[in-house]
Amino acid sequence: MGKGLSFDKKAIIIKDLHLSIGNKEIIKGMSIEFPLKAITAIIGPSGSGKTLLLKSINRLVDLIPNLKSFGEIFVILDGEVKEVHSLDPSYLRRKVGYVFQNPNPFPHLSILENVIIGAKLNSLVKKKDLVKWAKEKLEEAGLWEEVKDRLKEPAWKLSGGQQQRLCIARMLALKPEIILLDEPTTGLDIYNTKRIEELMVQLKENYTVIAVTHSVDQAARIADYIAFLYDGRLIEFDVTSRILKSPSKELTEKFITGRVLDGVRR
Amino acid sequence: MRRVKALFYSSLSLLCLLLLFIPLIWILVEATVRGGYYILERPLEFFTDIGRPPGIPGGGIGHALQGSLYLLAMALLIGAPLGTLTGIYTAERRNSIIAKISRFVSDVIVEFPTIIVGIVAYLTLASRITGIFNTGPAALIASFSLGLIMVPITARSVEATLISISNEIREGAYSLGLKDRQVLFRILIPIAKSGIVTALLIGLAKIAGESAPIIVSNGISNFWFSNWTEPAASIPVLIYVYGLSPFNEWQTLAWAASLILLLLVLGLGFLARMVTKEVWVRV
Amino acid sequence: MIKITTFYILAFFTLLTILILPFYIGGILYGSREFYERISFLDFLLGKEWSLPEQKYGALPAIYGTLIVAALALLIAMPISIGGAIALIEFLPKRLSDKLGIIVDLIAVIPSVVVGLWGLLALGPFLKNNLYSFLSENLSFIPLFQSSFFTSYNKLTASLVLAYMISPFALAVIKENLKLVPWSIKEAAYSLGLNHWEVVRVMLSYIKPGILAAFMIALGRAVAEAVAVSMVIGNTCSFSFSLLDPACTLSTLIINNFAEATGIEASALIGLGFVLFILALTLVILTRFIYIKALGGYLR
Ligand SMILES: Nc1ncnc2c1ncn2[C@@H]1O[C@H](COP(=O)(O)OP(=O)(O)OP(=O)(O)O)[C@@H](O)[C@H]1O
Ligand SMILES: [Mg+2]
Repeated sequence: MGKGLSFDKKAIIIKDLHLSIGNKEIIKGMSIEFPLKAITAIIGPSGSGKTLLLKSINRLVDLIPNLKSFGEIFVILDGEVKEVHSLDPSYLRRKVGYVFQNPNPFPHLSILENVIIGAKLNSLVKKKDLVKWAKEKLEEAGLWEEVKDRLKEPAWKLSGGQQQRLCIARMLALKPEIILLDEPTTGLDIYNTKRIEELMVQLKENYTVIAVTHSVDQAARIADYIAFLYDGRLIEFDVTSRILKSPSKELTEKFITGRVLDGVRR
Repeated sequence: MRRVKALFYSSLSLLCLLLLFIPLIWILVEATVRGGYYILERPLEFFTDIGRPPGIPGGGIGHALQGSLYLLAMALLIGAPLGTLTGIYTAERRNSIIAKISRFVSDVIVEFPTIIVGIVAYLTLASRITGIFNTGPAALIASFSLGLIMVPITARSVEATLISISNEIREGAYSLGLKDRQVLFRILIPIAKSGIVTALLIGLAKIAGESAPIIVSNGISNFWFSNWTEPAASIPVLIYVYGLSPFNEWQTLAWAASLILLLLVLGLGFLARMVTKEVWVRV
Repeated sequence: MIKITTFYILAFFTLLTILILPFYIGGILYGSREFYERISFLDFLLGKEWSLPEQKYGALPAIYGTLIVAALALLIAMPISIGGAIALIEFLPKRLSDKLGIIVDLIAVIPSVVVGLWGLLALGPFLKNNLYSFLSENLSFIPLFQSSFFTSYNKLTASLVLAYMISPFALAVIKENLKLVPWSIKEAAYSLGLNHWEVVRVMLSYIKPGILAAFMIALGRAVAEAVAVSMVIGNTCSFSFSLLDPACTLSTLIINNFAEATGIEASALIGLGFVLFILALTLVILTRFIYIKALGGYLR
């Protein structure tokens, strides 16, 4: 599998991805190679297909009714090249962590239970080690100090920023290799945004990180590479500094300088 | 002039509302005055004894309580799983063709005359002329009808509860690599727990007061529960029979039984209403 | 081999639920087939006499009784439901109206046999002493109130009892529709200088389809109700016009006789059930379409 592809320093290779919902074509032929253990930011106006691209990688798009998609997505997991559609979705999603645009902790579970539920139900960690595991992951997500005395409280009592970091801890508890983040700082204050940005930079030590972001400034701060999407197509992909200083496409330049206005946000 | 008219009509609308409350209060007062005293006078006899032959004072509704308990328990056994699982499926596969048909069917059969449900159950399962089991009127057939009656209400309410859970929670669960079964039983159903309990309470409240399907499929019995293939007594049918009888003692028992049934059904309804704010007096 | 997944199991139970409808339809067709082998459906439907001892099985008197009692009940219930819904949504403070709304919802769960008992032992006798005697003494020149011999149990008592049972359902539908009237409609009405009541009238004309849906739902229930009506209608089949005369309906005949009936008699009762079934099915399906339209696809 993946014949003729070079996986040198790459974690994900997408070949000619098409995706439509109902009669509406949303991703119109897209090929991207995401570098290993680096942060790639995906930018583009609202509705350009950023979220759906991300959800294609861990096959969350399978849950959308009337969705058709074709094309290939190769990932390296456990040291092997695999095509996502040939994998058990449950295995794939465990290995490819996902953080959503809005924090979505499980409302019926405590803070502690939220962190361990994935690891527990997937039997990744021995039962007696779960609490220790949760502590480690909460520390990794930079939340431990704030919640260590209230682990039994329901998760919805946390602030939005704390909830988002809880979701990051929940995802890290699955021992993923690739991490997908969909605008993880939307709606958060400066303090929480900064915490999460720092966290992302830390994460690239051990993980491949792909982050959708709405803000070019944020991409500039954290990303090693930037992919610019427009209307379901990849317009440009390059090293951050180059794409920001001398974009090769006019559309990219317009977007970066704020002349392509975002569509109305949903 | 316009102001006078407006005042007149707004008062009239308030009067309409008031009109709806009068019979409710009347029924409660009447049942308490004409039946409640008897319960207080002889509580033990009332709850544990069987009805007396006409003209002989005393007696109770123990046999009907027991019969109702049996009938409702079996009806729940039949209707609750069917309704709940259907509700879960129609919510979680809401765009599938099966879900769409099931929604239509539920909306149609929920308004179906319950007496016809009783007749159909009797004809297909019990009737001596055409029946499969050939038992004649029987408790099991009544329970079967009651079970069917509660299915659509339960299904629609369970569905509404699950649909109210945001899709992000669902996706969050799948993004952790959980299987369908785990997403349902560890995440979605626990979140919807109170709503599902409400759905079952609503279903139970509906069938607890049903009498027509019992009368046609189980007939009338004045004895203790003996066998699933024999008629069983029940509170609603006892009220019907004793109420229509010309005997004062029996009518007293009917009022007292009404009081109990009212408290039970209103209590269930109120409980359900407390657990969720869903509009449930609906098609 | 097919792997049995969670959703296959759920789909299986959903299919079982779907089968309930064909089960009802098939059951009643199957049960009444013997009867129609002996008596033509049209003869039965248009037969003017119903008498078990004389073996006369005509459905017309019961259909007449069903329709007239249901019509009268709706005539009473609809204005009250509309008025009550308006009071709850427009004229009462939110907190009070929420509480009263719960009570109205609870009226809907009062078992029909309890309402029937109230009609039988409380309302009926009360009306006889205070209303029917007055009507028959003073207004008997009106054919509606002509009665040589009246008791507590007749079409009027039955209609009142029935009206009470269907009102909370009609009210709930109208209430939901009133809540869905867009704010812009009200705003526009107010901006024309209309007062509160006049705005309500605008709202009512806006929710006409919703009122029709409420009417249909109430009608469906009125036609189907068996126990309560059978306790207060007097149970004598006739075509009498007077409201103070007793009558019978499709479901009261069934409930009164089905348990003891055998042979042709049982078949005739199932035939009545068949007619009721057709009536109810038509109403239910019509209602569903109207209701969906009324609430703008609320039920999806
Ligand atoms: N479940 C869905 N059903 C139907 N259409 C959808 C669905 N999800 C997304 N779309 C459509 O697909 C297009 C791309 O959506 P996507 O969420 O990928 O955009 P995005 O780039 O993430 O935008 P944003 O920045 O606003 O999050 C949009 O036009 C959207 O309306
Ligand atoms: Mg998005």
